[in-house]
Amino acid sequence: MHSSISSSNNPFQRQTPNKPLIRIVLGSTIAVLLLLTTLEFNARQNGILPTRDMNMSFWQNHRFRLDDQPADTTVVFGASRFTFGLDHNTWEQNTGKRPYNLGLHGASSLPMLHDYAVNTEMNGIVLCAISGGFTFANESIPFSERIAKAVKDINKNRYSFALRSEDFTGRVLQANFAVLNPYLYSPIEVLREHLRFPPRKNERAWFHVPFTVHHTEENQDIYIDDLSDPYYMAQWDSMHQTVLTYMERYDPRDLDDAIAQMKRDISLISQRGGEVIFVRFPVSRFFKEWEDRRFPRDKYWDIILEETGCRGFHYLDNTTTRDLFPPDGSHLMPHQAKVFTRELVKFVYPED
Amino acid sequence: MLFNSVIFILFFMVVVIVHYLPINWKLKKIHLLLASYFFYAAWNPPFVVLLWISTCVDWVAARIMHRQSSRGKRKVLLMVSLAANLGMLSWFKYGTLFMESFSELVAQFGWQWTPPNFDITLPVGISFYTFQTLSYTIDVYLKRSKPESSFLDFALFVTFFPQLVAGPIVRPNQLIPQFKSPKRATANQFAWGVMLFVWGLFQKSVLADAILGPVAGHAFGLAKEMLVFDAWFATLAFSGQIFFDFAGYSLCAIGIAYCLGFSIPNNFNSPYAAFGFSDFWRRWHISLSQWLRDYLYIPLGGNRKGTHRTKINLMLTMLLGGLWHGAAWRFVVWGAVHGIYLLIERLTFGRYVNHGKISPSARIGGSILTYLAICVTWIFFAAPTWESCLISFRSLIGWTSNPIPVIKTIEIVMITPVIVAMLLGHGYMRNRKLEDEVQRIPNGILAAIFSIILAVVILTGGSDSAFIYFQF
Repeated sequence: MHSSISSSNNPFQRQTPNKPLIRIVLGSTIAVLLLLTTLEFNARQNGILPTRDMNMSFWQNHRFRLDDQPADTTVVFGASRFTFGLDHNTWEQNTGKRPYNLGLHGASSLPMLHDYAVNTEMNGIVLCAISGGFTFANESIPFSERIAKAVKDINKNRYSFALRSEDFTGRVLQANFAVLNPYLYSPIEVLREHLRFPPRKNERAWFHVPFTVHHTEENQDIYIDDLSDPYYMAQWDSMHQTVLTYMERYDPRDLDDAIAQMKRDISLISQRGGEVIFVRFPVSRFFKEWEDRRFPRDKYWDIILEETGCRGFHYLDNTTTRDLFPPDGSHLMPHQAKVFTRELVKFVYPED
Repeated sequence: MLFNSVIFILFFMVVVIVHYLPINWKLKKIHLLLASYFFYAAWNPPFVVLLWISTCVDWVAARIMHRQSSRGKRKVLLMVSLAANLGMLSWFKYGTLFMESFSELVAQFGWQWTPPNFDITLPVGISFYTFQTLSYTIDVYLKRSKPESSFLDFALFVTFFPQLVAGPIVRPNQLIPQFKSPKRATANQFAWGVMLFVWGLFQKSVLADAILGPVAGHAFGLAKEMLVFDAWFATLAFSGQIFFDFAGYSLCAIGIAYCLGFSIPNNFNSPYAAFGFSDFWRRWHISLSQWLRDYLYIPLGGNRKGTHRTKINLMLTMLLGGLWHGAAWRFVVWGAVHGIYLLIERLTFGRYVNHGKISPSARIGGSILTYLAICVTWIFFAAPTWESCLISFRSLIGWTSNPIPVIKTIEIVMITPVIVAMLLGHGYMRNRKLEDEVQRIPNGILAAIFSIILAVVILTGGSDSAFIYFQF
């Protein structure tokens, strides 16, 4: 004989409001489903695309799938300059193969390179972004710490059902329903988008990433769809100023230590037939001024190439890419990404 | 597995379906036990072994202890249980902290010792289930209760998934008796459980993660001098974040258990409406406060051994309570500050606080002062380093040279109503029960409120942020 809670012998029993709660819950659930359906219909009518939430579980699951790729797959490591700045379609059209992009906003490529070297047996081309502040960012900075931790725990997390399952649910839900794009439909984000206030003087606020006008596809194909609105530009600027403040606040990683680690990793990759190519993406405005001052080419980029012996594609060395001007200071627009990608392909696969 | 993840919802649906199948009660309990192990192993499979060790050691120790008449042998068995449970807790949670602190200490005397890098991963919720199972063996040792006769019921008590990883810390006499007879929720109880769960998710995903967390995390993570306004605002935001994060989790746990037909006690009772610090600790993380009182403060002598000893006992309890919260000395200092608060209250205005005849305005003023004093202590939680703590405290009083604004106007506009509503809500609910208040709401309005909350939870989306209290 089953007993309900109220008839149990539990002295800590809870009350239940004496209302038709089951009808309220069912009725509300149906109403919410109708609302979601209406929003989804509306989104599709307006050409709004579903997007995956570019969070750490998404990145880690994307990393796990790397293990299933052919050994000679071209792999991409870096921060958002790579996620926005490499056009996968252009790469595929020019090389016949699609690259595997493991770029992550604000992340350093070095832990990714280390993971690739020690945790995989792959032997393809590795495109590794060097972006001064991000590449050598102190691991105490939150956006740097998360990638270091994710890479450190990669082998533990491989067996985490909770983490792996998020990929499944994301593919089933987020990748198929535009209404589950939190950047567009979360009431909190909607408020952030529509209550527009001018920035405070010298503000270094939490960076609300203005992703309203971007979308992320399964292979981390990420596109900035629109930057014409001055408000979005101001958001990017504010975000970048805060990022730079973090990087000023925490001393960068020691270059000698970083190069020593890179050399060990590159040696492992070379031994199995792979090649690491460093890539420097275009920057502009205050970002360029800051990186030129803090991470001057002759003290970082040139030293890295010299010490590691790797090839490197620096945007300033190419007559086409040197003129690319990222409007927000750090990220290429889709049409610029196509140009950059074509030139990068030519560098990686020079015509004999 | 996070409550605010789609996979948990799917997992829970399966658990509910099996739980309500027409099968016998023992099979249902076995199913709940296996589901709980799966829930825990879903994060990191090997750590489920820790649960098994804890379960087996305490089960055996308590049974043998019960048969022993010799106090000495009983004590040895208690020590075995304490050593096993606290040993695992110490190693996994405090191993790195203790080794690093020891290294720094001996360095002061000129001895260089580099601690080995064991790369210790903290098992989720180990502090919670360690305390929960310890209460069982201590109760048996003190002859407050007899050992449980059913291994299945005991294992389920240790492992029951709704409150396994972040509480409430349930006592054996609160949960084990509920396993004795078949349990199922009525349709209304089930619906109420769902409502509590969704309300808890709203607190966690929307209020804590989407609104408050980013601002507080940034302000303290940046570790730069802030304007006085920003420092206070970030502190208030964190007070909201940590409350909604933890109270939200507890509410989810209560709702999930209720859907399955089990009743677990409240863990929060409008803590920011507390009038005085002892009142705060009767309202914040109630299950931990009571645990520390019953298994640490009172065994140390409580207030039975004179004024001087009472102060020592109180400070020891709060220091260890602080250490329980995290493997950093900042948490110990946080506990010490709370201990000092309690001592000051006891020595000065304690009698006044506990006096019934206090004017409403004095009570409100006292509650606001209590809240602000509590908020200041949260900086030890929010700031990731000592340096950040120091900068934050200096910013609070304007002892800065080049302060900057670290909070956007839009965030101020969004967070202010959340904090105000939280405080008004705590004030209003101080002596009320949620169930009674819901009873008074017309059905149509209740349905509208629930619909809005549910829609906002879904549209805001899950996040990959774990609950803050998981780390404890």
